[in-house]
Amino acid sequence: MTSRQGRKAAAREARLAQEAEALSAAAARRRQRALGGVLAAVIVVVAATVAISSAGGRANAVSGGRLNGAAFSASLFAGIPQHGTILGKANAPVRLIEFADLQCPYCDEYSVQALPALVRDYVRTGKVSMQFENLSFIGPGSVAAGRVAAAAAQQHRLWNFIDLMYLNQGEENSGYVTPSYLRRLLDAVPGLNVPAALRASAAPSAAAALTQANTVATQDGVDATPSFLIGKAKGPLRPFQPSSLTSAPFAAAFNALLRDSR
Amino acid sequence: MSDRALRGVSQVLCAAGIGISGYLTYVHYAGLQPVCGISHGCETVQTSAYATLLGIPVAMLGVITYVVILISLRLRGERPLLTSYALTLIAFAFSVYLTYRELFTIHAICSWCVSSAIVFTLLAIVGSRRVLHFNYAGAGAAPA
Repeated sequence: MTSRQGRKAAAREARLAQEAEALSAAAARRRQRALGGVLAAVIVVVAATVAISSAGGRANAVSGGRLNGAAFSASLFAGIPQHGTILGKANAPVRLIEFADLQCPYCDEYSVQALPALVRDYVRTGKVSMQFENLSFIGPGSVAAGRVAAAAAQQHRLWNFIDLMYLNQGEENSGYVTPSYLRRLLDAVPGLNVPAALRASAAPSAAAALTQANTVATQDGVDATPSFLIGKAKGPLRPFQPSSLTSAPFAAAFNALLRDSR
Repeated sequence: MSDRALRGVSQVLCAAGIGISGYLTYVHYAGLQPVCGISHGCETVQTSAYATLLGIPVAMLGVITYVVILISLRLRGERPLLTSYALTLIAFAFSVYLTYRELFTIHAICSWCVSSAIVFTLLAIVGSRRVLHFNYAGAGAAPA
């Protein structure tokens, strides 16, 4: 009797062990299927997303795609007085002159990294005025863009145009500065008469503006871009070599001059 | 750590992610320059062609992803768990791709974007642990 009960108990234990093992194996299979499905879905979605993003990255304004930063640029300069090549109030106590080529990548670095904060904190508040001297030595694209910039300056929209140019800059001398590319930038400048700007860019006055900027640069001993001159509005300007093309060294220089102006 | 604790950690991470992505979405639509700290590259990254996907700001997609993960974390069972895990892995992989673009294509680092990438990385780690300890034979997660 005891022996029979013992055999029954052993058989039951063996059966329970088999059932547990089967359940465990089924759970493992289910886990593998679930995780396999998740990983397959993840791979498909990530591949599609990366492909779309990469295509978007190539399709910028240079390749006829989306224009970068139009809304940002418009809001950055909205309401700030512009007169020719000068941005900011005429009675600002501090002046900054920038010599730059529109194809120059370091000028682009300054414009994208430093300029927005400087405009917001110093130009918009009436403390600093900025002047842009457009050099055009890198190549034909610099001249073409420079002539359009000069035309924008005639309508007091220079800073909007050059900011868009830098926000959408391509490889220097790669041929991206085409008439259609420049037209797209002009179309994004608020309040600009685009047909008039295009006519003005082909006029001798636009070429004369570039020649004039080069003359000023030579007189001031400027031989690289970007170069900067800084000083009080009613005083001599001196060359300024920032430690980096971020807003911090410019802000420090502005603050020092503003303290002296009081 | 119990599944409940892991879900709590994930919810805190999602809240942090919503804050980060929400801020970047706000500055995008407000036309502002993001506060960038030491990296100084936020504006460059935010105005790059990689900042949008099919015209939608990537930051906004981040907000939506964090919110969906957060909602699925509140639900019990295998399906919500796997849904949140799949979304987390997708977001983690895409943030790795965007960090690669920052370093080697845009040549600028956005500290907010890196922070979000770190949050997605942590979410992926926590999510992996939850999935591996989930009791697929039963109805919930096994206590660890």
